[in-house]
Amino acid sequence: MSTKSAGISRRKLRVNPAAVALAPSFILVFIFVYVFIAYTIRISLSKSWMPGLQNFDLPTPWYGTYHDLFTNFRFQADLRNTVVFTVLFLILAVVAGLFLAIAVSNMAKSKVFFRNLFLMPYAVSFIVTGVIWRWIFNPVSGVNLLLKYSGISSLYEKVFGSPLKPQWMTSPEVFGNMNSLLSNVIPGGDSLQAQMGVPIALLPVIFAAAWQLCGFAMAMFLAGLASIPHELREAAAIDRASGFRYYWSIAIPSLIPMAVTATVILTSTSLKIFDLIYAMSGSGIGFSTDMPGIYVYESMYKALRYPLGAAASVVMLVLVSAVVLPYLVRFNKGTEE
Amino acid sequence: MLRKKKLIASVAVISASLLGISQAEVASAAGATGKVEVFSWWTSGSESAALNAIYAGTKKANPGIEIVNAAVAGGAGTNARQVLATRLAAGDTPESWQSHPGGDLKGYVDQSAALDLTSLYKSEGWSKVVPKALQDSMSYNGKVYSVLTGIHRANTLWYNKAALRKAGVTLPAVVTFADLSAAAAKLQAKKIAPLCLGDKDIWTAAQLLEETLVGEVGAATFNNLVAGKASWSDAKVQTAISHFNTMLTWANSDHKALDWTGAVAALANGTCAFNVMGDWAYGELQVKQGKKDGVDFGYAVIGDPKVFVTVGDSFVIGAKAANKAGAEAFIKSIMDPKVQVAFNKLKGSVPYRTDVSTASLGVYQRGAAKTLATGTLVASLVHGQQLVAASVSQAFSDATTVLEANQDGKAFAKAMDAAAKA
Repeated sequence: MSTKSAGISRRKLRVNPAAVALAPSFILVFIFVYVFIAYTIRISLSKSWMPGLQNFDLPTPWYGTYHDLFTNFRFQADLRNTVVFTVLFLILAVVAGLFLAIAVSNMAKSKVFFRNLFLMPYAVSFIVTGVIWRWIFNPVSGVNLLLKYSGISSLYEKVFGSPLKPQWMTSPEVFGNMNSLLSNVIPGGDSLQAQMGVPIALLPVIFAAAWQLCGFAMAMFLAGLASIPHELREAAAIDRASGFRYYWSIAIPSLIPMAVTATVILTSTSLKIFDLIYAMSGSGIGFSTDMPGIYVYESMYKALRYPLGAAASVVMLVLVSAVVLPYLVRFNKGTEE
Repeated sequence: MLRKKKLIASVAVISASLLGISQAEVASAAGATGKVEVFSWWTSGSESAALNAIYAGTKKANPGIEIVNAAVAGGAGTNARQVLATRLAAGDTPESWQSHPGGDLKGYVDQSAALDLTSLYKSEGWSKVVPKALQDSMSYNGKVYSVLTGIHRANTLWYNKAALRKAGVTLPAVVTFADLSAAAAKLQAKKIAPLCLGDKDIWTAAQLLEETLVGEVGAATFNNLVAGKASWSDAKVQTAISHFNTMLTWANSDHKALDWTGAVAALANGTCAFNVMGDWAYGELQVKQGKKDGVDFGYAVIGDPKVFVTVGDSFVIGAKAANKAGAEAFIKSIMDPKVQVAFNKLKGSVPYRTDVSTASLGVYQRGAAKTLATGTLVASLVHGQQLVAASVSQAFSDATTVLEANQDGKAFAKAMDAAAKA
């Protein structure tokens, strides 16, 4: 948004009074976004900065705080969780959103009702979602009772020998181990302490997040579907293309820009995720559901290690920028052409 | 009466300004005046009621004072600390604010944000009537920086009487891990989970480990461990850690999905038998769960019953506060014997002053007050009360989180040795 208007103002600076009108907001954005980012980076490079004792002396080596951060078991687990969470959550939310959009757009009746129904979770706060899904995935009450009384659990027992009682968020297991692979690929990979795999406890949280945000993806896809000219569908019908064929060859390819936008927005949400995890599972056994956001919060305001918290938030900023910047650059090019 | 006091005060102010006496001196003569901003994280039910009891005391002694209650809710003070950090950085200091003794307070002293209260402790005679260990937990280089409102006990072992009866368990006066282990076997035979735990938030598990550790190694060694003067790989520490690992296997299977109130509810329902929790659980059991002390539930301590693991909240005077006389009046009213009793009655804790009458407090509180005055006091590391950097307390939580997953006592010791000696 801001880069878009920056592009316009750069071209018309000399003649356009709009630039004068926009200047105050640019100055404010500059101070409250960019100056503060620079300030945070500076704190992250200090040895012992505190709000009341603003000592900016560097540690030795100057990148000491970052070294502490990346060799820390907890932060390694956090980065693993972020990657696993983001990838699985995106797949689930975007695919579910697409299916919902196609289903809703094909409804003969109550289209509006179902559109709103599926969009509803998006309006709920993450804290509410977290608490509700914590109850649902409680291994003693929750969804396991459904498995028990529906007979699925005993059926499973007949086939596999033990009753089906998933532990959900309370599972300490990490599926898979990529440590040896990663230690060959990334520099300093031999100091990996956390097991690099898919923490089982993260799956219910991913499900809850996808439940909440697939409605958002659906809304974007619905807008995309509505913008496809009706003639295309009629032409496809005349050519005797099946419904599946129409979606596979015509509708879905034309939805790709929507999918990219949805992916970028959802990725930035997922990299910053805090409240859902905090309410639903906390840090989990062995940090199986911990996230960088929680780490920043606790190192700053519980451990009072401001430089460490600042360093972790700089890492989060870099991760989000890596996703958002290429998108903005592409978007900017698109509008200038 | 009030009007008369105000009249005297205004006459005093006028004559003082004529004579060139400073405002602060007048304040000490006829009660403090002006605005006093008090910053805390007490916003809910019994907490805010207890805080209001202090305010009432301050206003009674200083009719001309106006208290501005700046309370920030949430996160056991983490949110409030965040707001306070911003305000301190901007030089906008409240007159007084809430702080845990130990690491939290040390942070403010390091930043020269809190005022030295040693002379007040002397002139008011407080040093003689408060437990020395507690005063020490708020002292740096021989200077004391805050006053406690009241003290909670962290190392209480609650149990469901009916569940123990059902399993045929009787507890001796001094409960050791061996006693618990024998009880656990009997309880498991009756399909009752021996331990109630709700460690969705890790501090509850960390507290279980802390109290097991204090019970095993004793108060002095625990303090040395925290201060980095003893090694965490010591055999006795490792024994306590393996006890903790064993106890986790006794817990209700949904422990990672519950918070501490869920564990207390499970204890009240009798689906599990023991719960290590601070005595804030007392109110939860009595009021929310409707259970009776001595009939439905009882309490003990792991290890020496004279050991009291303390969790308190204290208030400081801002070094850069505008109205220091007002802040002093507020601190004095916290230490007023009547206010101490009124506050702790509402909050469910034990008075900081050991010379006040506890007759009006509940049965449990009277017993705890006695132990506080005569027992061995240890400041809780989990609740940030130890006189070390706050990062040590965080390291303990983090190491417990990892321990839950890998049961590796050696790795735990390595992490804690590094943190305590840093």
